[in-house]
Amino acid sequence: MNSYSEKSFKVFAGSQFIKIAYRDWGPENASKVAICIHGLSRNMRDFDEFSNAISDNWRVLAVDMPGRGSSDWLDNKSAYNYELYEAVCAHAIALSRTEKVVWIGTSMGGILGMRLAAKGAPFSKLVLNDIGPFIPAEGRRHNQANFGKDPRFKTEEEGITYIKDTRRTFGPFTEAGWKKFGTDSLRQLDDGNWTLHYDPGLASDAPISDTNMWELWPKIQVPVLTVWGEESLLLTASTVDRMAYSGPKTEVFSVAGVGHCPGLTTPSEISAIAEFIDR
Amino acid sequence: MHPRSCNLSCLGPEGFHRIRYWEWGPENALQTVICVHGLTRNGRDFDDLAKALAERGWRVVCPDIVGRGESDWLSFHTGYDFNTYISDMSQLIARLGGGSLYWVGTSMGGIIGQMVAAASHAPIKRMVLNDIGPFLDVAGLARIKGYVGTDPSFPSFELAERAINVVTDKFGPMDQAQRKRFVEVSIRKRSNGAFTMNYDPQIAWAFKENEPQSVDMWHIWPLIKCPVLVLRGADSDLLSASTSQRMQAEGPKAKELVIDGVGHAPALMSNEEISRIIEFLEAEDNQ
Repeated sequence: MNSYSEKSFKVFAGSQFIKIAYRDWGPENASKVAICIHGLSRNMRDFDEFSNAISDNWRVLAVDMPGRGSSDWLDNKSAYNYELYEAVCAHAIALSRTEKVVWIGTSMGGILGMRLAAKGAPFSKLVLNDIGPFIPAEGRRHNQANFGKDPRFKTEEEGITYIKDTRRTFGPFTEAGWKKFGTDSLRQLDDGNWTLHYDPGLASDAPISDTNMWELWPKIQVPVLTVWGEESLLLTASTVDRMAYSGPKTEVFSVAGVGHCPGLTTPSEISAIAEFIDR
Repeated sequence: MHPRSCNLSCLGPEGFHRIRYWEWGPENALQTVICVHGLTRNGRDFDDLAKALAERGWRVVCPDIVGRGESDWLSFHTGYDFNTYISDMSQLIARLGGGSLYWVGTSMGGIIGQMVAAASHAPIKRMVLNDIGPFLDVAGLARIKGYVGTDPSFPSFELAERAINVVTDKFGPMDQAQRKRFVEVSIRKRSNGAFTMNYDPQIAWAFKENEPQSVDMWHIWPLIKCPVLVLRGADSDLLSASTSQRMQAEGPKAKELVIDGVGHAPALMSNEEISRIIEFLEAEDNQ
């Protein structure tokens, strides 16, 4: 078992500095650094198994985006936007103290990876977990079905069951994996109840439409590996094909039997990513 | 003693640009001071102060702000604004990791410093403002407008040197060797062999497009919570004695050090300036 320390850095955001939490895995002076960014309603803990597996010789920085996990929540909910998230990511790159980093992004974290890569971020490689330059509205609607609902659970078990029920397309997880995934999604309130580990104010009522970011794709100049949940509603087979044949021509590792999105906890997913970033 | 030359990729208005910073002293020092230069200057202005601090165990980080010195230039002039500069400095602060952070800012570097320190939860423990405050006199700004960004070409180093000496004659005090180095870091050689100023002439766009008028930032002064030392050139045309007095009376209630015989701005190269800055930075906080 490798270890991590939980740290934070500050990001200037308008009239304040906000605190951003991250888990710092592996040797601090490693020249090989991977930055892991989670999906919309998730947090840095999703990368624990992966980080543990590769941090003998990789330093891994897994970051909580604003409003998630242990990072600050914002009073002004409209400030939760990609501009701020990109700034947070740039700060994480800065603190790595390396020339180039490997970027590993699940869903929203992958969108950030594509956006930053297209802006010339100092990446050596990019790993996209079940996300690409085109996201159909249907997939987004499905993914956001329970986003921002702010439920309360009397016990942690009740909360874990809720996560399992609402996140069935994730995985594959073992029974213990589901328990960790559930626990990682929850936090306990002062009154003893449990709730989700993010700011419900993240959800917006903006209408959901197709997201087309194909203009970013040819601007990405680094090798890309896409991990694809074959049943994903967010990353369709035709999008994966176009990602493989155009622009940076991604390699693809498909995970059968899961949708959005692969949990990055199985030996085969972990070794596929490790092989790609070590190559 | 020489600085380490370090690069940082910063996300800005045109994607990522590269910032050069000069790092002195132990890399893992518990205390770091960031020194930020004036409008047309660069991080090498602080060599003497940085050496003195590094010898006392401080890590000293002197960035070249984007468009100056060895840092990248932007394509579009409008990117040269305080949003970009502050965002870059925030990313630099992240690069430097934890530990206590102090700020020394000359002129523009002190405007950036005030804006950073006025933000809530600002990670600045103490700040030195060199000939700058929350109110900038129109006289100084009009003088700067007169020379900045004219993109001159000089056939020889000596002619460039003379031009720099003219526009910085109130900068000091400096001995001959210091003046020589000050000039050297101010000059860049063009591809055609001519000499010019060591910055992107586009940084001056706001001066060019606007009539000079005084700048009033008094609203952020009470938001600054850290102790402040203000150095004022006795003949400064940018920081008046009355502005300095108000800085001492209100908000963080700055301490003042007046440098006789110089204007905008004190060079921070004399023993007196350096020792007073060290004394201030190393003072115990009573807060």
